[in-house]
Amino acid sequence: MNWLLIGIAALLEIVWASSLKYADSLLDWFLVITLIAVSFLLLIRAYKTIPVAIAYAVFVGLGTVGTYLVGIFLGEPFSIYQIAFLLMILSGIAGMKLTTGTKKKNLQRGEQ
Amino acid sequence: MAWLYLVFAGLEEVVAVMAMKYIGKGRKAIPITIMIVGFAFSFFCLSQAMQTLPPGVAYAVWAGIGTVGITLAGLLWFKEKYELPQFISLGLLIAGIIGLKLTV
Repeated sequence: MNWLLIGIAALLEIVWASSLKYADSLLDWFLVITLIAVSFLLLIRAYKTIPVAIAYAVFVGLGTVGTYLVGIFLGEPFSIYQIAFLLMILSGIAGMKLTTGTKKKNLQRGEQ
Repeated sequence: MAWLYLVFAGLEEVVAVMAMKYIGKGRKAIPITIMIVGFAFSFFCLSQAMQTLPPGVAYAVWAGIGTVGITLAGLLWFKEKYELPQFISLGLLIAGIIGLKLTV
């Protein structure tokens, strides 16, 4: 469940990170800031069962990959090296997902 | 000077993420303030660094300092336990982000 929250938070991050470049009216900035707030709230939720470094790294990693893909979609150039690094990020994310449960034991001592 | 901004930006990011963790734990007003000020200051410093450094380099270093710092904070401050496969995955992810940002 908390992995899903990180996924949604990252999707929102892709939207706001991509729109930072295009936002120029007051309404645009209002929307961007609202999206940032919602994605952070979801991330904060996820911290309850997923260790902080894992959750934040997955959030940042998915956001980076997504923003990059949106950039390509909008016509920015890409290279084979970048695709290789992108696969590296994705394998890191998959590895963390597979090796990190959402059990309380991850956080036992930190949670008090 | 740009590098100094970058180091500050990375450290501020770590502080802000640590504050986020406290918001989830129940305490609210102080961590929320620290988080908002922390991220705002972090992005400000990052954008200052990008004035003189190439943006890709600045982002890569910022993300690197931030992610490594947050891992250390998780280990040392929040006493979370990480295992070897998690460190390897984290390493892959950080290397991927740095590589991607340096080549974009």
